[in-house]
Amino acid sequence: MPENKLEVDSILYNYGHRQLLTDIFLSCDTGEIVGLLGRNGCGKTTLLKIIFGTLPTPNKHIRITGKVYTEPYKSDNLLAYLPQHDFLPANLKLHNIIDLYHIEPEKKETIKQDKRIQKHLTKYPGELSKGELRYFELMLLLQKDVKFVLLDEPFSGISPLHVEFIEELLKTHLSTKGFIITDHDYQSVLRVSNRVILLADGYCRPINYMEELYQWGYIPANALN
Amino acid sequence: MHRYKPYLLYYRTLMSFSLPFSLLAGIVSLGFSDNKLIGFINSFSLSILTGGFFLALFFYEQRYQNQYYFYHNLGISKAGLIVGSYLFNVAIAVLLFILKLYMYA
Repeated sequence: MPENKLEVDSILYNYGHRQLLTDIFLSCDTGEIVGLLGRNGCGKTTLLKIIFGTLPTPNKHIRITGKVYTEPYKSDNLLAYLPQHDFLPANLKLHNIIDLYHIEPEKKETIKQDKRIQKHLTKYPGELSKGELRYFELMLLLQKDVKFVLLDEPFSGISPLHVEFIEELLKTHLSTKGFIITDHDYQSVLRVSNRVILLADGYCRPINYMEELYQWGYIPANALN
Repeated sequence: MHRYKPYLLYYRTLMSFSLPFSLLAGIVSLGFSDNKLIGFINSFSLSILTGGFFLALFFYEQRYQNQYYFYHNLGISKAGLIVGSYLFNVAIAVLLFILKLYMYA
């Protein structure tokens, strides 16, 4: 198994006068799913965009397998990012999108032969249900030879069945990739993650017990039952 | 060729906003020019290099902002897409300029 390590350090980000992220430290290894939880507006998406390299920030240090990158997304085969909202061009059919995204025939075939995608190949992204679309988007990104995948709300607004399909998909790629995943469906995140981090007050806090989520004010007391 | 396809896709989407505007600018100019075809070429070229192009960027930003991540996942930056598209338009304007010279000659 290729061993890679993503280390994110010293991230500062201000939103207006408010310091949203304060000296963040986060790491992820190959074979690991790191769950990133946090309240609305705490900076989860901002953090993922900073790691991906598309959001400039006054200070950051992103190291992948010992090498420092300022805009990792521009380097080949490092990171992929699944944004919160649909990101596929609406005017291309799924099979065209696959052909555009992948050069290697075997990767194209793997996606096209997937039993959940096969029947939709001639459709446009807009014709798919939210769950089907999310599954396809993830499949598209997971076939890339990237070392780490950043997932921003992959379970948001999709049915439990598709949540399970997505969980399966992540597990099948764990041997070659590491994942940082954030979602408000915290139960799915807790189920799928090896390690959980809570982003609160601009800091990343490691979570070892469910009670800590309550103590930090992320879940209500009755959620512990 | 494969690596240029995403740029073409982005350019095509931008042109879907910019082309109608630039054609309209060209058609309007027909009414004000002595040589109608040359007037059309001048206005059309000017539009795809200035107002039409920036308007298209604005509309793209409004409607398809999230699609930039489609390109980012392919390692292409927003600046790269915009510069690439502008160069396409410069190439079209140059071709139209050559056509104009040919028509004058």
